[in-house]
Amino acid sequence: MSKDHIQDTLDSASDYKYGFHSDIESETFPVGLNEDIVRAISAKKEEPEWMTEYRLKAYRHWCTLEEPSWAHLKYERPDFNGISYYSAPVRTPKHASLDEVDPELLRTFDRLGIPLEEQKVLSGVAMDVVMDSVSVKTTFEDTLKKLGIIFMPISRAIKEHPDLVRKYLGTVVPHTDNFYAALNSAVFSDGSFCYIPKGVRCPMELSTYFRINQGGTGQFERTLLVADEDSYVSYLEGCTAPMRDENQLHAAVVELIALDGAEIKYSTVQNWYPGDKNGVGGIYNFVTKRGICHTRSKISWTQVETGSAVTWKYPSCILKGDNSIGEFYSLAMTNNYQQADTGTKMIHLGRNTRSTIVSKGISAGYSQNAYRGQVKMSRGAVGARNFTQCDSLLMSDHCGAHTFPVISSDCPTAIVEHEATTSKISEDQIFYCNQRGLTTEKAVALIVNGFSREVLAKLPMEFAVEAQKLLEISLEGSVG
Amino acid sequence: MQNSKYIKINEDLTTIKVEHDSRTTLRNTGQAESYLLLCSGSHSLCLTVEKGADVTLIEASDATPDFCYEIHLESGASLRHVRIDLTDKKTRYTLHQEKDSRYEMSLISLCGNQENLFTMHSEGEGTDTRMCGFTYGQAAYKVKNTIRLHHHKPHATSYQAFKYVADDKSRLSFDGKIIVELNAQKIEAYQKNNNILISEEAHIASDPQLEIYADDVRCSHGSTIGQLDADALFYMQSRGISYKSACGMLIRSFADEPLSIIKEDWLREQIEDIIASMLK
Amino acid sequence: MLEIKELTARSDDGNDILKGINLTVRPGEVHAIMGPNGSGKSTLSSVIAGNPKFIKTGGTLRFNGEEIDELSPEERAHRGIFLSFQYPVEIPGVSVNNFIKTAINEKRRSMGLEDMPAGELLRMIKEKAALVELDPRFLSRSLNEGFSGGEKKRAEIFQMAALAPSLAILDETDSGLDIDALRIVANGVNKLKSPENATIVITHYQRLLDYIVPDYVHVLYKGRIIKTGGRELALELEEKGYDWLIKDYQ
Repeated sequence: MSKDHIQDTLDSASDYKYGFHSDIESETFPVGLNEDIVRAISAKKEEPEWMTEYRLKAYRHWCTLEEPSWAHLKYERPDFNGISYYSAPVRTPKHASLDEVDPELLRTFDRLGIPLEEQKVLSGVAMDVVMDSVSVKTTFEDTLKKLGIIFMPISRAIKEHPDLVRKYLGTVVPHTDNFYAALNSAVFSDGSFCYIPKGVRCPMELSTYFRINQGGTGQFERTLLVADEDSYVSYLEGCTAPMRDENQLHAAVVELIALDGAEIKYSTVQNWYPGDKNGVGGIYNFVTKRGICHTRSKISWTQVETGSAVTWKYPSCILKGDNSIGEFYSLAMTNNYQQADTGTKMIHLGRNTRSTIVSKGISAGYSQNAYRGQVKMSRGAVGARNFTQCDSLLMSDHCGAHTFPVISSDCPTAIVEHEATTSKISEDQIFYCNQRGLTTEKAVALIVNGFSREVLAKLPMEFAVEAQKLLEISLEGSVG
Repeated sequence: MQNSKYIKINEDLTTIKVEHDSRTTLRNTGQAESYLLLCSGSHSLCLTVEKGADVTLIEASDATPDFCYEIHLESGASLRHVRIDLTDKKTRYTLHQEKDSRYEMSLISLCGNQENLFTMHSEGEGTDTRMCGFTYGQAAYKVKNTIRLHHHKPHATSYQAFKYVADDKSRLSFDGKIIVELNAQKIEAYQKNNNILISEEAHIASDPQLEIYADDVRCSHGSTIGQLDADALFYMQSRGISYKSACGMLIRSFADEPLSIIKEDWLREQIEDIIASMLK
Repeated sequence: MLEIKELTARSDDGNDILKGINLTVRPGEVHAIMGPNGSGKSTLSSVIAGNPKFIKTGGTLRFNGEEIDELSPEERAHRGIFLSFQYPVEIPGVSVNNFIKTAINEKRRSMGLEDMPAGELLRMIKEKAALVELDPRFLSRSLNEGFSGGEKKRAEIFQMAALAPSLAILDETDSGLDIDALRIVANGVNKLKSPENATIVITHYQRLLDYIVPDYVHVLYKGRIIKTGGRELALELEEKGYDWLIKDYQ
């Protein structure tokens, strides 16, 4: 009886409240991909020759590759020739003044709850706003500049700081890495570039807000974040997209470089349109995210994923330097017909490296939620340690929860500990809460919250509040 | 490949000699019975354990290197399966369990290259499936155990515990998946894979997997890779036990679960002796 | 307050467990329900609290004059019924604090009141924890996770203190407790007793009743109350066991 109760609670209509579409004049390329389109994208962005060459090299390589199919996912293959690879709002402001921004655009961001005025920005979060592949606004640029911190759209960074970009772009995720990385390297249009100089502690959270607005396009953004020796930065990534019948493609690449003694905290709250109750539409989220840790450095990936129809992403850490630390905290919620195949890779190369993986999956409806992780202790990882905890909560009898960890070790002094459990909310727990005066809906929310706490606790404050609300909204419609 | 290890068989056991591809049914009247499997020159066997029968099957002699066998447990049947690997083997093994049947396997691999695929199907309610393995890799042996345990029906339990010790240049790998089908509710399935790496040139790979489609279940798996417990070693040394003996005791303790399934003293003692001789 | 007439109930796997219970509990009273294992004691408490695993098949169940059959467990809780579970469940990640605050506010909302202000809530919680001798460190721990038997029972009594029910049903609160834990739990219950509320103590053994003195003792056997007496009945059972009583009902 309580199982039906849970089902009903999750079934009451949940509106994807970001599903609106903004009428903004955009310039969109014709569909399809070929060398000319690649050159056109590069030309539109007025890129130097070396950048155009990089794109072409990647495109040529992509043509030789086949789309991967090993993930535990079933979806209709995107029609790569049926989407447009470039779309940008026409009236793009170039600088900090809000007067130049298309008022419709401002309204859009208002509706999303993203204030653009400097004063109202979430307790001083510097934000780069990317609408349909083009960075629209970056706040707090001057404040950061005084500290020597570079935070700007990557398209600008390619022109203003070519040496830096060239030095690091593609060093963590080379264009040959996988199918989507190659595609992204060829057609990426924008994203954030960030450089923190030696010894500097970035005083505010840096954030990029991605929104796909135009239909029929794919969004390919590229983020490159370099933390020089002994520096620190906390970065937030948020994403939404309007409701459409078609599946839109989001294939991003994020590269993080933490030099000796540096620390990067990268948090994502992903709420791409997940498709409707019957699994129609929704974003395909295929992302390659990777960080490389040098000596004594640390990279923490924290993510809350509740959106997109199909998710395929494995934020990873290459623990190259001795004594480096990699962390991965993830909460992935799937409902209706969503599918997620996500996890992390921790590659231990250096001595005394440490990694912690806490993955919490919540499946409801007819969704499939799979954790895929890799922990590799190579021969040189003397004294290294990994701890992994994967827990899955099943909330309906039609969904699936899967765990596919791959663990290997070539080093006798390295220690690996992995544990995974799968269970559901028990009727006894529900009745206990009922007896204490909580309705079943409230009980489910409380229990799910308790289940997710360890991950939510890792998010920066502002994000934690948003993530909590997102979980509640996802739950409202998810029992069913 | 040196096969300096062998097991002397108890002559009193009933023997199933498999000389060509064959089918056999095991049944018993009254007390549990033990059968010895001797294969030579054949490649496959299909074995049925009759309704309600309670039998033990022992495989402890040289087998053909490439072997495929299928075991059916009828309802209420009980099979205790003891397998000792001392030579190179490549086997494909399928188990089908009808309701209320029980299967318990002790797999001890002490020598030779192994490549085994175990596919277990729990096809009735109330089944219990237990697999306990111990692999001690030395020289340059490669052992790969792949297990696919399917729960098709509700109210069943399963338990897998595989322990590996990798020394010298051995490469040991474990790939175990538990699949719980839709409607197979009230399943309790546990799996653990504990591994010790002794030498720097040894390699361990562990892929424990869960594919769950039913929600009212309790499933978990755990995997660890590490060294012999330093605290335990020191404790034993402080009680006067030499480092070498202490290591030996810890390694030997890894084999506890599969050894405890072997009730036949004559067999268990020989295995313990072999393990002792392997400790360096 | 509680009026039960000819109550019959079965478990959801079809077994008839309660075969005609008659019981009246008035404000200010303490009733003890004893009986051998399997007689239906826990079932009775589950049916009163509204556990969906048990289905009422006949008779009437009235609380403060109202028939409560159709009410959900949380509605019954809002009306003042509290069940201290024999085996309290664990809810990982949800602190005792967080849980009790949610319960308190849910009750207030059901009465049309606003949430209790945070400061007042905090004070109240600390006060109640002290009243039942619950170490404040438990408040920030995950509900019942890793708690010993005694700690779980004390946490239950703490919740009772915080929610101030009119009818408290203590289901085998003494099982698994040593003498000291028993004394602390009983102390808590006694401090919370008042002429306006009532308590039903379900127990197999007499010893708890040394500390929580009952006004009435009922013996439940095979789904029926076969004898009702005063406190002395409990002492008689302690001395002679259940056999002499139940032999006529075999």
